[in-house]
Amino acid sequence: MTGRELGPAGPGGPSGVPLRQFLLKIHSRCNLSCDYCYVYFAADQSWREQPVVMSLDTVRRAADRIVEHALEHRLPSVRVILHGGEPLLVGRKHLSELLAVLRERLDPVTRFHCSLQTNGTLLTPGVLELLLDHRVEVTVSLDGPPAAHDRHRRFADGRPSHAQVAAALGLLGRPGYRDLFVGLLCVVDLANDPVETYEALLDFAPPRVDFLLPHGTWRHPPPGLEDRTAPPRHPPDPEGRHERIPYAQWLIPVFDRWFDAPRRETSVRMFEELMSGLFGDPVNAEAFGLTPHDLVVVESDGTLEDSDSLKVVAPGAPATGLDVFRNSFSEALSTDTMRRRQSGAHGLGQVCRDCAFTTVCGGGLYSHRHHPATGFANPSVYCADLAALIAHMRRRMNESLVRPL
Amino acid sequence: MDAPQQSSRNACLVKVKGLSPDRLAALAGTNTAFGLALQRHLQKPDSPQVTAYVVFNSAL
Ligand code: SF4
Repeated sequence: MTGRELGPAGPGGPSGVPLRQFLLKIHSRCNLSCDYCYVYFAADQSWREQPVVMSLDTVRRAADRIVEHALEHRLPSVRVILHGGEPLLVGRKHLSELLAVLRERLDPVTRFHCSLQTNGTLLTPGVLELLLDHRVEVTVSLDGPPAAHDRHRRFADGRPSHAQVAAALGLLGRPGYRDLFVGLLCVVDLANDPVETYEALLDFAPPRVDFLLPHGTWRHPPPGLEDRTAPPRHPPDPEGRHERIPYAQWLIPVFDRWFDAPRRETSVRMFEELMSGLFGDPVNAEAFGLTPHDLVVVESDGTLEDSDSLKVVAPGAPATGLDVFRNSFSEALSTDTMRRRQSGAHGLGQVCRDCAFTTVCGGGLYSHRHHPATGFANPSVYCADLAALIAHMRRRMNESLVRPL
Repeated sequence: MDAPQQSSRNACLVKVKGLSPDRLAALAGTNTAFGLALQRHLQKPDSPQVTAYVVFNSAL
């Protein structure tokens, strides 16, 4: 039985889609001090109590739990995401040992994909050789050209990081390592020029680009949306006529630049998944659509958490009270958060359920819906922007269907 | 309640139904963002049931 064959569950209902993605926080600290980082600067400060490095004992236990889950649900494949903090701070030796543990336990049971999300500052040829040996795919955070990237992504002593990241990307782009390069993660900053940002990412020939919206909630709206403090009572005007839509106005020129390129230059995940939704197909992105959530976070001490982005909601918001030493991953499927995130449109508030874009937008990222009074039963704090972006994309797609070839 | 909501949802989607197979094939054959998106859409019914990973949206 595969994940998609199990019925999704509503809050309070039976547990649903098995987990297939396991995010291991193998190092809880970072060598950068990015001022927008949800791990260190958000409401939840639990990282302070976490061990710095995930021990091999914890890795073994997590791997055994993944095996147990894969066998229980007959999963043909699983993905392990090595994350932090900055995961490469564990050092080459520990990384080598933990990858060996994962391979040794998971390979006999299921197809095991492993990826690493890094800030890029510690990607050396030695590390890349190790990642190559273990077929670990690499995603690097890059926010655009030097000035854009270094506005937020600096070392704790204030030094900029762009030059180091660019050098690492040069290395990752070399023929021997190129296959490991999965893509770039770019956090949107309204202060940066959108097309210039996108073109700076293209300079590194990434196979894929993911644009991420800065985290925020209705209580703590993201930069530029400080006036958005009350969730709407009605679905938005798709043309964005009644609201400021700065994030749509940032993303639309990027979409047009990408969409109008005579040859496709890279995959832009946000746009491709929204287009898939506009064609009536599944949207495979955590931030959009109604595909059930299938990821769990294992902190460096082995505790299980729901998505990391919930750290922006409140202290303890991502906590499940479970850990890999005492609990199976199937138990993590029973938390209210997980059930709601696996229940498709039923897990949304009424406004989103009444919206013309429900199946495409899916209410936006779960944590972005939060309001202290109404919990998560709200549209995203980005609602008006998302609707305007999706409406624009739909218009462009419809035009493309009828324009002369 | 479901019927009108459903029809309004469907109305929001991009429809390829009225287009000829030749035109669709030509559009999907272009190496552009739209061509590849259309290819993904058109291939879907024939391809084996592949369950794509839901992309985890996070930043470091
Ligand atoms: S968040 Fe998305 S689904 Fe919900 S009302 Fe806004 S546009 Fe519609």
